[in-house]
Amino acid sequence: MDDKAQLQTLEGLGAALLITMTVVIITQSATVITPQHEMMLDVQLEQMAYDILTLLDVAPSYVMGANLTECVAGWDMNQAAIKHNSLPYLDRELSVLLPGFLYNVDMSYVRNGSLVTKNAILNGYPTEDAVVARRTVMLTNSTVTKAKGAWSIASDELQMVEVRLTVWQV
Amino acid sequence: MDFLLGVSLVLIAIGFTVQFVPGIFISGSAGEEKLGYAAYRTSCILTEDPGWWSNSTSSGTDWEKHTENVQRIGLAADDDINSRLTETPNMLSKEKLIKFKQLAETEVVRKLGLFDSVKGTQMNYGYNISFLRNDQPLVIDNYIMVRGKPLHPDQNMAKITRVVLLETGNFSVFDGRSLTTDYVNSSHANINFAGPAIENLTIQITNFNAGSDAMLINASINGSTLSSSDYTILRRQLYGNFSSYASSSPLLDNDSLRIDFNKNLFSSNKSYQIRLNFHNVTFTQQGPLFSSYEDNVEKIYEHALLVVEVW
Repeated sequence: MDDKAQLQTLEGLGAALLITMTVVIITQSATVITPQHEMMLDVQLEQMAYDILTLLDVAPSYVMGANLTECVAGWDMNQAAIKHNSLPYLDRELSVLLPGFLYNVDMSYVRNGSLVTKNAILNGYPTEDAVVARRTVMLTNSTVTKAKGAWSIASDELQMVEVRLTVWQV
Repeated sequence: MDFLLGVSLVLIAIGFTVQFVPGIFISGSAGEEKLGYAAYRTSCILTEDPGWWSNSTSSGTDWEKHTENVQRIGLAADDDINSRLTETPNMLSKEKLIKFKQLAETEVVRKLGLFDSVKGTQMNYGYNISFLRNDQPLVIDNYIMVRGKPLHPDQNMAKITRVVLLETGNFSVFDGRSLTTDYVNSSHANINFAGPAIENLTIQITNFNAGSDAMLINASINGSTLSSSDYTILRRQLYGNFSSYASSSPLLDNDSLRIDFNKNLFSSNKSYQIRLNFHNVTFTQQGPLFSSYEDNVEKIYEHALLVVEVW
């Protein structure tokens, strides 16, 4: 009888048990997020961001405090800095609608034939898994005058502005 | 012999792991994907579509008035019933919500496509559709806004959450600077209402002509001062949410007040005059004609979450 072979069998048994125990402990103690789940979470967050932009735009101002088009029309057009954003009313509404999330808001528009993008609300630098929702609003001379904004739009002109909401979780 | 024993041990270990750690190797299965699609599709139809009904002669998006001929169940509010679309996605109609709650189970499963066909046999998905505010289901006209079954813990399911505005009732919206009073430049506003009331009366006032130390003191109906239990007051500062307002708290120009009167105060078939007594708020529009509750009625929408779970 080969005693060495017997010993190796027992070692194999011990190693198999160790591997099994390790795998069980790891999977029991942490949530296993498979790629599909992660993708679903991204879809979920992106959907929420789109829902919020839609609601802010379609709801009359007596329903929600800030209407998206009115807020954009009243923008002072200054570049935002961290803790010094240029759309405080929209920021306040977003903080209520997105509890526990961080977000930035950028504005993109065409001025004199070139595309301009400026930060309006800056809360930090997004992580890799941040999602982006977009909504286009249309400004006229009368909406800007009513909201006391800084846009210069002639009475026969329309200004399209893309509002980009970037949301992420820390 | 040793080799065989070793291989069988490894196989047993792998078998044990697969058996006892559910979900580790099934992430890409077709079944789970189907549930995800069903949940997403259901949430989109409910929030973004006003629904559709039709019979041999007529059709429209007001399916809540024709529940026997429903073609599609959608909950988005719609002003133009022939439009086939809504201009207000994510704003859900109260009447549609209540009819959705009352529809037969088979109708809901079939119209929302919450089933799969396995070899020609219909297999219904388990589902739960809830409208939540602060993690609690909303109650509208005594209906708890939940449909479907409760989810078993550890069940494999697909879930999607949508942000919506839910119509919860009616209110009358006034600009504080155009409200009427019974003598000019006074600090009280008079609003008429023709009884009887079928629901609580809610008045929202924005944009006050307020001086320093402005405040709302109390309210009276036809000359009798009401007790504080007859009504509730909420206040919203310029932008944000409504929160409770204690009588005689400071009030600013651009605050909004929402005052909710119990419907039992207006139970008779007669005219009522509500008088709101302020301090240091000036009303310049002298009646009669007084502001009328019925002339400014709008729908109240409240922020809520629609959660669709399918398993």
